[in-house]
Amino acid sequence: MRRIPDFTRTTALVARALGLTPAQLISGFRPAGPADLDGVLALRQQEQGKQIWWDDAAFLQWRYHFGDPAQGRGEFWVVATSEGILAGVGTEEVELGGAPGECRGQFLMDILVRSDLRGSALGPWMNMALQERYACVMVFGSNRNSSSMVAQQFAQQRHLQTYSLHLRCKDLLDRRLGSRALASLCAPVGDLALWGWRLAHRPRGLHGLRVSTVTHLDELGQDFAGWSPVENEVGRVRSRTFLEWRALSNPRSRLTVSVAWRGNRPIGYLVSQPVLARSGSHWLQLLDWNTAPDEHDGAYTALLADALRRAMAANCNAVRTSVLHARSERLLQKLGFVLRPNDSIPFVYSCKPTHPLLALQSPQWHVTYLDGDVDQPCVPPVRTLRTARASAGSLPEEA
Amino acid sequence: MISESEVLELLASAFEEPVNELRADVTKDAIPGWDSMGALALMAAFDEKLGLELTAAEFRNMQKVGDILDFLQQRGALASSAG
Repeated sequence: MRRIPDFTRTTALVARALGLTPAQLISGFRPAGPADLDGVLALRQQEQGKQIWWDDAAFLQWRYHFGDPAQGRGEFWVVATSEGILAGVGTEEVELGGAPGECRGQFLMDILVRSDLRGSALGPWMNMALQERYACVMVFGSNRNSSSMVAQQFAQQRHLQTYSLHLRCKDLLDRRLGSRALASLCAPVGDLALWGWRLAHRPRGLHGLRVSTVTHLDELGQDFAGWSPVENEVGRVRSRTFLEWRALSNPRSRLTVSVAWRGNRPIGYLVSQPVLARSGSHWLQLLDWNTAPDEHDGAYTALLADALRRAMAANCNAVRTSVLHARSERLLQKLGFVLRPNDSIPFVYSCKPTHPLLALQSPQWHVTYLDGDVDQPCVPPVRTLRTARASAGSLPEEA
Repeated sequence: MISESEVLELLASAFEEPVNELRADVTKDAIPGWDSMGALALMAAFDEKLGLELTAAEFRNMQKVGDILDFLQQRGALASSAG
């Protein structure tokens, strides 16, 4: 592995590459305030404009507080000089349950560097600066520009695994056979095989359980923070406040929250969203879930069964999820979900020596897609999909 | 001063690429490790071994291995291979 200098030396090298002194670089790296919003928006538009299909001002103020704690949950850091904003990176503090004592971490996201400054190593420097500042720093996912930063700047490396359960095969056959006529011919046989697969793996033990969709988590009358991870599991505390914000208030995506009930007692929830890929393929993405500790298998099975039913009703081709959670992954495979080994998502973190996470022996993480910062466009009802395909901006690639 | 073969060894380390894959005509798009971490490793190596400064603009203008060799040549850091 290549030798990367320490923070002090990196500061000197990066500052010099930018024509700054080390002191100017360090003092220029600060949380963004209200006066920085326009500059951050301009930089993001300049560097990522083609990928931005959402109201970025609304999104940034939902995700980051820009000096006003009443606003978003996170903090956006900028490298600002007399030339303006050179780069930025977002952080979100999370409470981690399962470790001894109070345990917090910072997720990093939305990193960007002005394109004329690429080659200055400002991105890796910002990562290092935040690792100097915070006791535990985490990153979810990576892209072509950040993959080696993610692989080399974080001591602990894990991966979310992606699972898929196909419901209809015509789109898959379209891509694999390269002939729509042949795909149409083979699809009924393929769909029958998929139906047989699902029958063999059908959910059992759902007696006494029901699932409903909720639009406000107040309906539950219970704080999800009470559903702590089981022994030796660790993950974000999934409080009602967090879910209301992340799942139901996000201006980039409106998500569905379904709840499993045993009688009048909520025993689990699941967050999902229909996704439309550029190829026209359409699937239901399962983004997050949690269950009461003594009800995991029953609640999760009921929620998955409901998700399958909704996906079939919406003419989805598949149900997919990405997760790092051993108990859930065992259940997914039992229910017929198939691993997609080429679609794993990195989850990495680094902690200072005294951080409580390091006191755990091989912790079992519970990390879901909702722990990341990636959102998919909202998908309209199936009958309007043709209109959506014609007008939609940046849609995900079919994986 | 550094020889061309030593430069290629240095690039192999900075970009995490086998040295026998590096030739003057190999472009940065063909080298996965030619990224921000590679830039940092290269800046550190040039500074430590050659006392040379590498700016963001200079790194960004380099499109292939040969451009790095030219950069070192222009700064008098590349030993001549002529006999």
